[in-house]
Amino acid sequence: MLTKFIIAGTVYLAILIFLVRITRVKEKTTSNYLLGGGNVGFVIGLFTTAATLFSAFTVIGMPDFFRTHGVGAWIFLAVSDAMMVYGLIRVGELLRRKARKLEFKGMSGLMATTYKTKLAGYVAFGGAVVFLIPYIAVQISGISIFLNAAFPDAIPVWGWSVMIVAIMILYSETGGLRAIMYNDTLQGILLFIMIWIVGYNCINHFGSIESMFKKVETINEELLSVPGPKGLFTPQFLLISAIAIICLPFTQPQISTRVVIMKSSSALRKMAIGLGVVAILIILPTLFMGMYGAVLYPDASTQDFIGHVLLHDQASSVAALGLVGLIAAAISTSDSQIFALGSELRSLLSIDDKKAVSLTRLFIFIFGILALIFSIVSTEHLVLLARTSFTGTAMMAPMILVGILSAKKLSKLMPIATLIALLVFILAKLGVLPVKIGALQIELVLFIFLAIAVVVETVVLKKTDVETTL
Amino acid sequence: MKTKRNKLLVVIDVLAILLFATTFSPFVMPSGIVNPFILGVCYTMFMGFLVSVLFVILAFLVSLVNKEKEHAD
Repeated sequence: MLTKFIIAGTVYLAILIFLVRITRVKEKTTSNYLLGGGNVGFVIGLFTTAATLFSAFTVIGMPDFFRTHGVGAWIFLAVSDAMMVYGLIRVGELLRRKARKLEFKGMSGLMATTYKTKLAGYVAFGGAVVFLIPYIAVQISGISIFLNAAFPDAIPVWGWSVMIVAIMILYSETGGLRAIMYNDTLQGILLFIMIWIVGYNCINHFGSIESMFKKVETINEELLSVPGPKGLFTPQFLLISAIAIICLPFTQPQISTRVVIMKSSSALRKMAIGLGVVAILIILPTLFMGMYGAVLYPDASTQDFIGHVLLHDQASSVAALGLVGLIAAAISTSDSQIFALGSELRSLLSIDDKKAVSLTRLFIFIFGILALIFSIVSTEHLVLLARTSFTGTAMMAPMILVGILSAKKLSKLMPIATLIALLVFILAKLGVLPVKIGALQIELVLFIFLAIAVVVETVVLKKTDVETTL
Repeated sequence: MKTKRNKLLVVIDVLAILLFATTFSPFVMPSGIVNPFILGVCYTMFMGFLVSVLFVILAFLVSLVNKEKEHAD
């Protein structure tokens, strides 16, 4: 299999290099380098957003989530993604309108301008850095550990991590956002083909979907309902996850940038609908993989299970494709996130554009190195850390949405309330503060706190009409 | 024309909010209940799949109605 992996990997790298060459930007400006020149069509927009959204946690984490916690994982991700698409269409156009009006360079800069205080920008930027870097790191480490297990005699885990980060930084630095988007398209297609071949093979093992569920019922009936065997999928857990995921297009800068730079409103609408369909089509095979694991490898570790379902139980050519697909999934999300952090920093800088872009490129490199260091030391569980990342950035959603939707002068209330919520959330995750208050989880309490802040900001503090044009 | 469009938007938004609330209710995900199997799929999975498809359909409908003249382009 190593030979086939090397062939598939070489072809993949060759296409990446080709795409970098055709998207190379010589004179790097904010517009052509950080925003990809804008003007992104429906197809590229769909694939780049999908590849950015569906990361290694979809390929490794979701099958394992289905295997361990059962069908509630569908509501956790697929239903939440479909809800997100609805929110994207309803609010996306308003974001684009505001972004055009205020010369969008990044969400942090947009917030600083909208709230007329740098604090709002710093809160948005700080939240993105704190919650995205560990998420990027855990993806890189997850894939590196897996590659090391697949080829134990090749190179060490950190060697794979260095290789992945080097590829990401190299093409991000050379071609900017446009290179990332073209590579995302390639990676998205690869991921889609790979996940469906594996998913189909898993169904084939049972003969039909019906017999798959019947077999799972005999092994562990609790997998076919919520909250699942370990009691994870409570309505409260799923509600918090849904809120976090619905907010992604506005709270995760790598997605909001893509919303803003779409060529037209029509392209955005088509992209959003396409994203909903793709979400269902990508998560569905992970259900089949999870149910397959629940029957054949119920007690195996995540790594062992993924090793079997993606590699050992597949034909060697499919396994090689699976490995390249895994790398593609990790890279396509991580590069966009690292690049978006750079863009967010740029949006807060008020210096000469050339200098700002140079500084941003330096910080993209630094963010990459930070993610690499974290990836070497991190041991967190992939899906749950992804959820923490989504939920953490979702704390910024009320501030961002009020900023986008309101046409009136805003006070500092939302940035301050968001900063408090972020600090409380981080302290709760670190075990300094309780994770529950009464029956409510801390995330829900903080969402309620932020909702009250929104009411105070838009109703109490503003006596004049607030124009919220949904 | 604009009023009719706004009314349609409100109707779709109300449907989306109702569907959102229903998703987290025992109607879609009854605790610990596997049966009935619908088309060979366990109840919660079937309902979850249905909800995700319905949300995409609602998103499609809202995209048809919400073609604002004052768009960002």
